[in-house]
Amino acid sequence: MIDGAVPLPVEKSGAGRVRRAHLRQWLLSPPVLILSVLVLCAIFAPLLAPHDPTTPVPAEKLLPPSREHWFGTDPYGMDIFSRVLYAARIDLSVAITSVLLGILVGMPLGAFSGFVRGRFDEVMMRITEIMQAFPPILFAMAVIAAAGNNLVNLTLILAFLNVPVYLKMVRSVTLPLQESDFILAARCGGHSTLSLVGRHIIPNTLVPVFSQFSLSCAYAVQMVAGLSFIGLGVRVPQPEWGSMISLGASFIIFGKWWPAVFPGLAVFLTAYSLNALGHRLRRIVLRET
Amino acid sequence: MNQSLLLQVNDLRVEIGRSDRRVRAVRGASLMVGRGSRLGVIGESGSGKTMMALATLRLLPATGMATGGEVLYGGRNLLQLSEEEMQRVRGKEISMVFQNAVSSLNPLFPVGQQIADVYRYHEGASREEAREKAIAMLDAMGIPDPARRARAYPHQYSGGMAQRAMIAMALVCSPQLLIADEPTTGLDLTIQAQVLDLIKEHIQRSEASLLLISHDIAVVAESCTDMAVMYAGEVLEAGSLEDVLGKPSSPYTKALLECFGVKSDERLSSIAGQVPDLRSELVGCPFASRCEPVQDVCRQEHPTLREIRPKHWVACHFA
Repeated sequence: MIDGAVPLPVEKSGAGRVRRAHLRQWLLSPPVLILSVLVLCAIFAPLLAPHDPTTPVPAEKLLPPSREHWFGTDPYGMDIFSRVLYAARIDLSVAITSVLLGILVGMPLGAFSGFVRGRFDEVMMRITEIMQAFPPILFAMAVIAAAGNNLVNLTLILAFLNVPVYLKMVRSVTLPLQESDFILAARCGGHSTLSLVGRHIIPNTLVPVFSQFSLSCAYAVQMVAGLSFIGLGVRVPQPEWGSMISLGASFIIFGKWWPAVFPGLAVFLTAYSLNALGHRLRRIVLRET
Repeated sequence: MNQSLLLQVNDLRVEIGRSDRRVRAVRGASLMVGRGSRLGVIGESGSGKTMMALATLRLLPATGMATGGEVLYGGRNLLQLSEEEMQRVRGKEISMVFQNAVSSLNPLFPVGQQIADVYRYHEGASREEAREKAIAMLDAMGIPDPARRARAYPHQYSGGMAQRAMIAMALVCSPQLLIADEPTTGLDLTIQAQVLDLIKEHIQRSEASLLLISHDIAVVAESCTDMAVMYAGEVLEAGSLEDVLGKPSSPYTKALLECFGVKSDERLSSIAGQVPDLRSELVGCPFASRCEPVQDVCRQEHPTLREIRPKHWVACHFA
């Protein structure tokens, strides 16, 4: 045996058991449970929903929660429970798609920016500063007004808002990496800048990106609901939490709380669990590094 | 140009740092590496050994720049190649290994894959060929169970094993020249000898050349055929190992050998004084402030490397 070689881990080691116990604890934590339920609701909405979410029944306006309508009905006579389920599809998919698009653009730009430095970096930093100086709601209203009120535009706006977040984050992780020994060694092996960034820098930035992903999704869900609440992006009868809250808001003072409270609860639970999950992940990342 | 020469560094100048406090890390260093020879570069910390090596491969830190001189390799000046041409030189023609082997491996990928990557990049080999080549290289480096070790991650390697893996990665494309920057400094003494032997053996077998950077004369004496002594960014003496160690002709080399106890059996000595401030322009001999037999001319005139006997160069007015 040559110099103090560390034995390779054997299957079923103590470390493996600890890891499995950790995983179980994770899967049973409230944020993960809530999120799983929400995602399952979104996926199986057609099977779970007792009524059609977009068919108004004029005779059944604003009925309180009952056995027939678990969450009651809205001012158009649509079943709120069914609508809350279907809305999860729109809210979650718009949020996740927009964050993924933001990462797709922001991550490589940030990695390059931090890696090559110089003028490219300067230009990138100034652009992100300009982007972040804009109030997001105002920016969204302006774009929707100019480009049209639809879900695609809403997704693109949210993606655009996420680009500078990931650009800056990946850049900040890249800066110390760029001077690390293994990058110098990889250079000695003849790797090009493209392969250094793609194969060595970006994989090393994924852990912080992953922990930020959940926080960004929480923000995106709030933005989708918030923008829809003021009438941007989603229009009735398309089921969406924010627009449902806005539809029901004016009836709260008449004691008819259910049209606004149930979708509001859905937004709250989604945002809470995504945030809680994100903060957990971030604590783990901080502990590891 | 001499056919037996592989690498020739002529009057190389490197500056690092921002403009308000530029450090002249290498101030006109010259040396030659012959084909099949092994040159050891000796010098204190901050003497510019590493910067000279990094400049050779054009891998200086972002704030550093080669401001003068030339690095001739196979008739080409490496300082004037395009970045693409340089990428084909690195790893294929000239490789380099560093002191921190464990952190020189990307923590996210198996070691074997990182070796295979270099091979695929330069030789255009298939994934499977490259994987086998990587395992063969690890095996040649004396790593037990190489197929399994190739799948292991850097954190599962010890320092000595990681350095073996780095050497495997550096030699996978059979380069003509290996630059080893303090390759054994972080290792245990027993492993140091193993790793040095490994490098020496593979360089000899593949008829390549070695440029070994060290602050330890014993390491150089153990594994090299030639030797150069650097001080304050300049080469003060160069020649064959026997000449430099046996007939040291620069006062700095003599003082250095005394510090290592090579010349005297007495207690360890040190060289009085300090390395000159490399931020300012130096007039005269860089060693003048610490040199025992210093004369007026040493403080006024800069000595150049002269061949005092065949293949033995010294930069001293009185050699």
